Parts: sequence; structure tokens; C-alpha cells
Amino acid sequence: MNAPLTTKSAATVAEARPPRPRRLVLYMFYNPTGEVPEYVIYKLKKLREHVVKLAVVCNGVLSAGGREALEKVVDVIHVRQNEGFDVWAYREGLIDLIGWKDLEKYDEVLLANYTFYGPIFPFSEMFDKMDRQDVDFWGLTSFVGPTPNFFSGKGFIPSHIQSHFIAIRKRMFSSDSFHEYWEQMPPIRTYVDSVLQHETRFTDFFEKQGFKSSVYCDPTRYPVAQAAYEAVDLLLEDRCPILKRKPFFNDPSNVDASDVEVARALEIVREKSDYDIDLIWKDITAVSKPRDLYSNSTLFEVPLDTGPVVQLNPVKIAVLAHVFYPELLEEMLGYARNIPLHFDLYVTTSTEEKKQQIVRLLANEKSFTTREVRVVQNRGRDVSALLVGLRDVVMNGGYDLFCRLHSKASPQDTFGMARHFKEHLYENLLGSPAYVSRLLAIFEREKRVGIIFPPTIHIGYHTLGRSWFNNKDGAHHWASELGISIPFDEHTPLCAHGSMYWFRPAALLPLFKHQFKWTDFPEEPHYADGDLPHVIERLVVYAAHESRYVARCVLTPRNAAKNYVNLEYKLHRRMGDVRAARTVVSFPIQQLKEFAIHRFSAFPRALQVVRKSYSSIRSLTKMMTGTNP
Amino acid sequence: MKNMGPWWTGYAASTRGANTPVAPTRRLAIYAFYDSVGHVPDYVTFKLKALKEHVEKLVVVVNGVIDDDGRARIEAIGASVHVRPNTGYDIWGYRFGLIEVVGWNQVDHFDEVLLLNSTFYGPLYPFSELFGEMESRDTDFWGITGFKGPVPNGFTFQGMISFHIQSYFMAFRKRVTSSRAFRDWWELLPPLDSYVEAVLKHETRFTEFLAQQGFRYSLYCDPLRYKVVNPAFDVLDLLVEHRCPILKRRAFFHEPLYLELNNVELNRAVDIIRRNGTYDLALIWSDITRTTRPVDLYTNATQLEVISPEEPTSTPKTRRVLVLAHVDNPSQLPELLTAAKNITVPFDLIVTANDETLRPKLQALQAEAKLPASSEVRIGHRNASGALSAMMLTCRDAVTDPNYELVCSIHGATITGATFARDRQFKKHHLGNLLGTQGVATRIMELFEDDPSLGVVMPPTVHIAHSTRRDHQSPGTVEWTKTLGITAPLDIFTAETPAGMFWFRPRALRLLLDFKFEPLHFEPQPNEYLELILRRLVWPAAHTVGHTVKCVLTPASMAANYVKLEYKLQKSIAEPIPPRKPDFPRGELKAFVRDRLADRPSTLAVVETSFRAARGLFRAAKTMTSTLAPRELR
Repeated sequence: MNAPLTTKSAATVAEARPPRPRRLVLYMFYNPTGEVPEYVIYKLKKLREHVVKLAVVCNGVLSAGGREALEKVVDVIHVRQNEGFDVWAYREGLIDLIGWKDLEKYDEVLLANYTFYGPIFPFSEMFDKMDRQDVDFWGLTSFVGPTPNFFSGKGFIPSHIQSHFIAIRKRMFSSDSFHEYWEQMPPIRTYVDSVLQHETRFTDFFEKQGFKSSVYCDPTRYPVAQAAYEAVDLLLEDRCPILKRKPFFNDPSNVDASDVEVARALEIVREKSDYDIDLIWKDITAVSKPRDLYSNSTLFEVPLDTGPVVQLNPVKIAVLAHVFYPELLEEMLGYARNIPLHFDLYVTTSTEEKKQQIVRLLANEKSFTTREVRVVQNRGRDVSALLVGLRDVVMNGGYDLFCRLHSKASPQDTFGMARHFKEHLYENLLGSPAYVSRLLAIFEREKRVGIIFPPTIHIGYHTLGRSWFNNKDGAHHWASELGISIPFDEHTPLCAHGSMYWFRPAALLPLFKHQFKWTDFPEEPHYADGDLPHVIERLVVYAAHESRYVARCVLTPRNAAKNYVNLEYKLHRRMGDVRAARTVVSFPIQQLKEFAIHRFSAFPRALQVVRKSYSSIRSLTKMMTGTNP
Repeated sequence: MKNMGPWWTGYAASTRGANTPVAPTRRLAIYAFYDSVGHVPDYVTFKLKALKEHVEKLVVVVNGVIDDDGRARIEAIGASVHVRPNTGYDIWGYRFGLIEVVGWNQVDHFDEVLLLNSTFYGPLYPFSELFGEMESRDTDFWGITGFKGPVPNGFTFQGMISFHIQSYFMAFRKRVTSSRAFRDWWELLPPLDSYVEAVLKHETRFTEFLAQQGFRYSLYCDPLRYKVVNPAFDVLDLLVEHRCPILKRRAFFHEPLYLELNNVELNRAVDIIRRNGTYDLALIWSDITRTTRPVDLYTNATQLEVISPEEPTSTPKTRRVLVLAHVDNPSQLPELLTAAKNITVPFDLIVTANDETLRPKLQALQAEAKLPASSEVRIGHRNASGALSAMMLTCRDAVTDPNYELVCSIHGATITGATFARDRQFKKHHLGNLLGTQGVATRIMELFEDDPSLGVVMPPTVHIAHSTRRDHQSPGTVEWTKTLGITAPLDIFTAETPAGMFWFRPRALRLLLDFKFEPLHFEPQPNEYLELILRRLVWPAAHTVGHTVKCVLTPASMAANYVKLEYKLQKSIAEPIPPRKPDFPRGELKAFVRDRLADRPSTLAVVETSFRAARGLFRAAKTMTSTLAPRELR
């Protein structure tokens, strides 16, 4: 594991500072939509300071807006067909765009791609250090081999510099072998091809030609094969200038098993670097499945609910409450009063009679301002009451933050379930003044957090693993209607179940921009899983991510503990060996049965005969031995 | 059923006559007690003492056994103790008390007869509130809580269970106790051989039976106030909030999935009791720990707390702390020492290892760290290779030194074959949540100060980058419980195990510390390594002596663990692992035969020899037929 690359470490080859080399960058970019995310522009702008020419090779499409943004920071833009991954983009850049002859004008050519964020720490630190090294090619990070080649199933993957960032110096790029390497590059049709034909081959190939290589992030410091993935946080602690995108969107099972500390990496970026984390959120929300991003980068906080109220900058807050059950209003207000800042209240309800009742109840309230009590149509329940009934307030009210509440009674559930659902929402959104102040501090601290809500309810409810229920088709349909193109979570959407949450108006724009009408919603009493309110419930977080705002879940410390022990218990029950200690060894009748059923599964008639004869033998035995069947 | 009407009519009728109070003064109480080993927990004597103030005669019927100490403590209260065989549950205990101990003639002397048992804690509020209220009600019999029927019978799946007063506490006034019907019921009580029978043949029918005789009944806790079938269980926190004087024991040890499904807020109930300060929670913990599986208590009573890592605002009152830091490589020590420095009270430190050659290096590192503490390096026996073996073999004298109120055990030992990810997560999870900041260490010490029952504090089982499967009842583990005298139940499947890193009160682990472990005990075994067994036994060892175990997480650690746990659970539900293809149960059959013939070795030898011979023949035949068979048929 710890075998270093066959390179000399930085210290031993340090020399006096050579003149700044003339650098060329070939930057490969790909985005199926053709848009160019801000992180790319920022990175290229920073890279441009250190190079004499910056060429972007774009696989597939490039939008007009993207081109315009790129033109401001790069020298050459070359759009080609989306073929051959980054490998053929580099090849085309080297051979067709620049050409071997023109390449000779430069001292160093950099091949880099879009799969990382940066510079988290100034590129100058990296260039300064690497310029002193007498090597022929170098990279940022490397893969430490040899490990069995799990791509091809044959042989081993050698240690290699990762292809997302490789710099090649003149001695090497003007060599015949370099020209041949690229000219004889076979077609790359799959990701595995790109790994086998280029990424894992490049370093080994040129070292065998006698070229010397080096890695900026010394792999011997990290006892893992792929530090850029498995030790993201440690790399940043050592001021590695980049952060890979993969840890954010990769399969969370793998991120878990490899203990990829994404949250810690973000903490380091926040504390030690001037890199704007919003660049990450504005990109990754479009790429990652919401729950994967949530799990990988811990979009979750447990604000303390005791201690002093955190001082906050003034923001305009409105509480938007749908009160179908006026008898619950007092309880809701009890929670709302925990908001430590002044706020306005807007209420919707279903009849004039209820409105009068609510107006009376609010008459003497002094801790907030009641703006309006509206009677809305009773179709679509709390969802339409917000999207149709309060659209004007959200769109034009001039508020910074909204807290969405409604009178939750869940009459269809048992008392215990209904009570938990209600408390899960109210307590975790509005637990105590100290808690709400810490919750609001998240919005203040992180401008791209667009929606805050309690995590998926699971105590008493069979949601985990199933919570699309009958709404996935409808969600796909409405997502395209609303222009939401976020990749869908497979089993358990990241969802504010119960439709109560804190949000920034800009984050839910896709929902409010669409002119929903009352008639879009089902008439009472038709209200069931699969209909529009249930679909929209599942698209709220998706709308936020579509707007490039990121979701955040919160629980009070008490509720976190309560939820955690039950999550643990349920997982242990599923995973664990639910086997009581046996004191007496019993006849393995069950195992024999299972075996027989399995063996005879292809012959149902035979199985029937076996079963019949078994049961008659059994009853006969029991009759004879006198044991009561 | 005919003259009874809906269940609440009896209740309504009984409250109507509240203006004509009949104040019963002379009470007889029959208390049915059961404990498998005859130990009398303190909650029982506390309850009986409180009860004695309101009853003239207190009869304790013991099903099974009672130890001398327990008997003496009960008799000191002024109760009589009567032991009978453990049959027929509390119901036959009541019958025994009524008929055999007191006798109907004597029963006539009392205005009110109470039948109650040991399945609940109390009084959470003075019994005088209960008796005072019930004395003002004109009723013939009463109870504290009822089961709200009719609901489908979940035991037999036939018919319905009707409304009934729960039999853990019932009171009968003279009109009832002197009636033929009441006496016949008890005289003709059928044998009750199972819990289900006790419920179906007595508990669920007795109220209805008496109501049919025209007796009126009443409940202290108005069942109409709660929209659940079984308020004493389903909304126990609301009952406690509304000054119900009792809390059922069952909620602590019942199947956690039931509590989860019904959102039984046990932790809230416990919090209310704590806030009220009228009932000592130690009475609950010292009892329930002895009989409850760790994971059940952990889950049901939420023995997990999020602790603030922020700057502590107070100084712990704990005077003396001992830190044990075990390493198998000096490179692990600096991290442990840095963590230990977060303890803000004076502490002593012992660094342990099992290799003499490490001593100078360890001493140098320790000196370098400039600890605000006295510290020493101890090199133990070669088998003292883990945190617990080092504690038992190398540091037992220090840990059992009564000077120390708390001990914090940490180690840097890596698991054999652990990946970087596992290793790192393991350390981060344990060191971070036990000693991560001064706030964390202080808060944990305060947990011990606030709760004298608390015995051990640790983080929940690490699951990021770790598998969570562990066998808690391996034969070796069970064997060691016997050796060490650990009687509290073990977990069946995976549960919380302190991985050698935890805070504890030395007296909570006295069953482990009192045993004179020898290096030989820790000799590595192929499957049963005592170090790992002891880790599993920490929790049950504390439970056996009445101490609780609590888990802690910082908010950040909670967040990180929560999202990953949630992901794994939803994935395991959505994509269940396909069931294993069943094999022919050859091993099981062998084990069965060996088990059955264990005391007849010669028969076993004959069976085994003939089996082997038959198998040889069979294999030979199989080979022959297959060589003879045409190739394409094979």
C-alpha cells in the first residue's frame, strides 16, 4: 500500500528557482447541458494567471452563455463531438488544435479536466514547488498500486499519476514516444477503456522510456490507494489545490465504506481557504442525486437547543400557515413564537367561519404582525394553499425567509404516529428560541442553503427505502413540466415529508414560477398517494437543487437521539443475526424443509407429493406417539 | 355482555354518584411479587412502604423464591411474606393471598381490598392523591388504568377483547368482596399456564364479569382523555404528566419495534419524573437493568445523548480521574495524550503496552506531552495486548483504587487487517466523542455527577466503514458470564459494544474488576478472544449491578452518523440481500445426532463408523456410475 511511485521526492531534487516556464493548458470540459458551471470559469481564470495559453476542449455541446463566459477567460475554445472521453479530447487538442510543431513553443503542457474544484489553495504554491523539480512530467495526485486490475480482471494496476491533472515538459512532449503514444491511441468507448488505455498506462509507459515523474501531493503521506478520493480532507490539510467532485456524487455505500470525509474537507475549505463553497453547491446540486449528496457531504445539522440565542443579522421573515384545523392554531403559534426575530404571519384557511375564528384568536397577538388571513379553496390542501393561495406573498412579498407550517392532524394515522409526525415537524423547525436562532444562523452563514427541514420521518412510518410510494411516475412528469432535471433518488427521495420547512423564495422558484391553478389539484375528498399534492411534496427539495440551492436537514439534539436509536435498532435487526442462543440442538427440520423446497422448486407437482406424504407421515407419527398435533 | 352496554357506561355510572362519598378506611392489600432469583429490588420496598401508610394489612405473596435479605426488608415495613410455587402468575398469587393467607372471613373485616403486583413503579405522586380521589367516588371497584376495548383479540384472533381494568392494580369494596360472585370467581379460577391464558381467562374478563353482576366501576386515569387502546403503555408520558402515580415496567424491556411503531415516549416520561423530583429514578434503573437486554433499554429509553462540544461553562465536581491509555505502537500515543488533555480536572494517566522495548520511547513521549497530570508507563504481560486485558492485568490495582471516581479507557490499538478508513473512523468516533474537546469531556463528567446510576459512557457502535454484525452470545461469552457472575441478559444480535474506549465508574464494573484475571485467560484463541468477550460484557456487567450505560455523540458526529445510517437502512429495505440458497443441512444433522448420543459414546461411535462406511460406498458408487455414464450426460 505504501509503496511510493518510482520517483524522486521533491526535497532531493530541489534546485534554485528556474525561470518561469511557458505553459500551455489543454482543459477538457464536458457537460451534457452545454452550460459552463461557475467553478469552471473560476478555476480557468486562476489557471490563466500561470500559463501563456489556455485552450478549452469541449466534448459535446457548449451553450451560447457558456461560450460567452469562457471567452472572457480562455484563449481558445474548441468544441468537438462527445467521443473518447477526456483522452481523445487531449489527443485532439495536442495533435489537431495545437499540433506537434506549435507545441514546441512551450516549456510545459498541462492536461487537465473538469472533474475537480479549485484552486482551493493558490496554484502558485503548486507551480513554485514543481518548477524547482527536475522531472519530465508531474501530476497533482496519484493512484498507488500495484493492485489487482479490477477493470480488466487481468494483471495489476501500477502506480500512476491521475489523469485529471498532468503536466508534461518539453523533453518528453517533443519525444517520438510521446507523439506515438497519442497518435496510436486506440478508440476509447467506455470509462473503463479510458482507464485501461490511458490513465493507468501513461505513467508506467513513459517511466519505462526513461522519463522521470513526480507527484505534487506526495502519495507516501497517505496510506490509501487513491488519496484524491479516500483522503480528500488530508490532502486539503496539506494544501492540495484541488477537491475532486466524485466524493460528492459517488455511491454513498462506497463513500461510507471508504470513510471519505467530505464534510471535514468542506470544513477545511471554509476555515483555511478563500475558495467560495457556493461554487461547489451551484455545480454539484445539478449532478448528484439529492440523497446521495445529503449522505456523502452530511447535509445535516443538530443545532443545540439550549444556551443563549445566537445574535442574527436582521432578515425579513414570514410564517406562512395553512390552518385547516383552527383548534391547532394556538399550538402552532406557541412554536412560531420561538422565532427570535420579528416576523409577519400569513394564514390561509378553508372557510369564512374558520377565518373569523382565526382572526379572533390572533386579535391580541403582539409578538408578531398578522398580515392577512385568507380563505382559499379546499382542494389540494396545504400544497395548493401555498403554491396558489400565497404565490404573490412568496414571489413579491419582499421576504428573505419563509417558514411553512400547517395544522397537522393526520386523522388517518394512529394517535402515536400522528403525534410523532406533528412533533417531528414543529419541534425540529421551531424547537426553542436558541434552536431557531442556530437554525437561522445556517441561512446566514451559508448563502446557498435554500431549504431546511427535518429528515425523513421513520418512527412509526415505513418510509425509508419506499417513500416514493406511488409518486415516482408523477414526479417524473411534473419534474419535466417544471423544468427540474435533477437526477432522481432511487428509493428514498430527499423529501420534506409533511410539507413543512424553512425556505428562501429563490430556492423554490420552479414551483412558484409555474402558474399552478386550483383546478390542477384534486377535489376533496379525493386526496391520495400519487396525486399532485403528494408529487409536489416530493419535488420541493428537487426544486431547490434545480435552483442550485442546497438542502439541509436538522433535528434537535433530543429528536436526533430518539431517531438515531430507532434507526440503529431497525438496521441491526435487518443486518444482525436474529438468532436466539440455543441450548439444545434440535432436529434441523426447518433447514431440511428449506432445502427440499429449493431443490424441488422447478417441480411443483413433485414438491406437492413430497409435502403431502411428509404431512401424512407426521400426523401418523404423532397419533402413534400420542403427541398432540 | 347483554346488560353491560358499551364499556364506558360502567365508568360513567360510577362517577355520577360522587356526591355521596363512602370513605373506606380499612384496607387490605395483597401484593403479588415475582423475581426469578428472589431478589427484592428497592422499588418494591419503596412502593410497599408508601402503600403501608394507606392499608391496614399488607400481604406479600411471593411466586417462587425470595432471598432472606428481601424478606427481612419487606417484613420491616410491616408486611407479611408468604411464599408459594411460581404457578398461575400474579393472578394465582392474588387468589392465594385472598383464600389461603387471609381467608374470606378476614376479608370481610376490610372495607376495601387492593390486589396489585410488582409490574409497575410508583408512587410517582403520593398515593394519598389516588386514594383521596377514589374515596370520593361512589363505586364498587376501581383501578388505575384500563384497556380500552372492544378491540380484536390479538392473542387468539377470534372475537374481541372488551374494556377492562388492568389487573396490576385493582381495588374492590365490601359490596364486591362479600359477594358470592366475587368469591366464586376466585374459588373457581382455572389454572393459568401461560401469560396469554392469564390475560384471556382472567384479566380481560374480570371487569366485564363483575359489571354483569351489577357492580359499578371507575378508573383513576380517565381513559376517554387518551385516544389509544392501552394508555398505561401507549401514552405513558401523558399519564405521568397528568399525575398518574404509576409507570409500567414493561415499557422498558418490551420489543422496541412496538414502541417505535406506536411512538411510545418513554424517555419523555422519564424526563417528567426527573423534573418532578418526586420519585428517585435510581429505583427504576437499579431494577430494570438487571433484567433488560442492553439494546432494548438503549432503544426504548433512548440511552443516547447529544452532548455539546462547546466551551464548558462550568467546572466538573469530579475530583479524581484515571486515564488508561493503551498502545501497541508508540506512534499512537501522542493522539491519545492530546485527547486526554481535554480533561479539565486533575487526572492520573497510565500508559500501557505489552512490549518492554517500547518503554523508553513511551516515557519520552509522555514527558514531551507536558501533561497536567501524574503519569506512568507500565509494560504488562505479552497477553495484555488490548485495552481491557491491560486494564485487568496491568492496571487492576489502580482502577480499583477508591480514590478514583471515574476512569476513562482509551487505546490506539489498530484492528488486525483494518483499512486506513476503518482505523481512522474508529479513532475519530471514539476519541472524538469521549474526549474530543474540553466541552465533551466536561459534559460526560457531568452526566456521571448528575446521575448516580450511570455506570458507563461510550459512543454508539461505530458503523461508518464498519460492518455491524457481531455475535453476542458466542459460547465463550456465555461461559464467561457464568464465571464472572453476570446475570443481566445479553443482546442477541448486534448492539452497542464499547470498543475498549469508554468512561466508567469503577464500581459499575466491579464484576469484571473483582475477578483475578491471569495472563493465561487472555491467551489468544482461534475464535474466542477474551479481550473481545470482555468488551461485549461491559454493558451486561454494569447492568447486573444496577448501573446504566449511556451513549453520547457530539452534534457533528451525530449528523455524520445519522445520514449514513439512514442511507444504509433505506438501502437495505429497498434492496434486501437475497436469501441464501439453502444447503443440505448436513452439519446440523451431525450436530443433532452427536447431541442426542452425547451420553452414549459407544452408540455414537457405531453410528459414526457406519455412516463413514456408507458414505464411502456411496461415493465409490457415484464415481463408478459417473465414469460409466456417457460424457454428455454428466
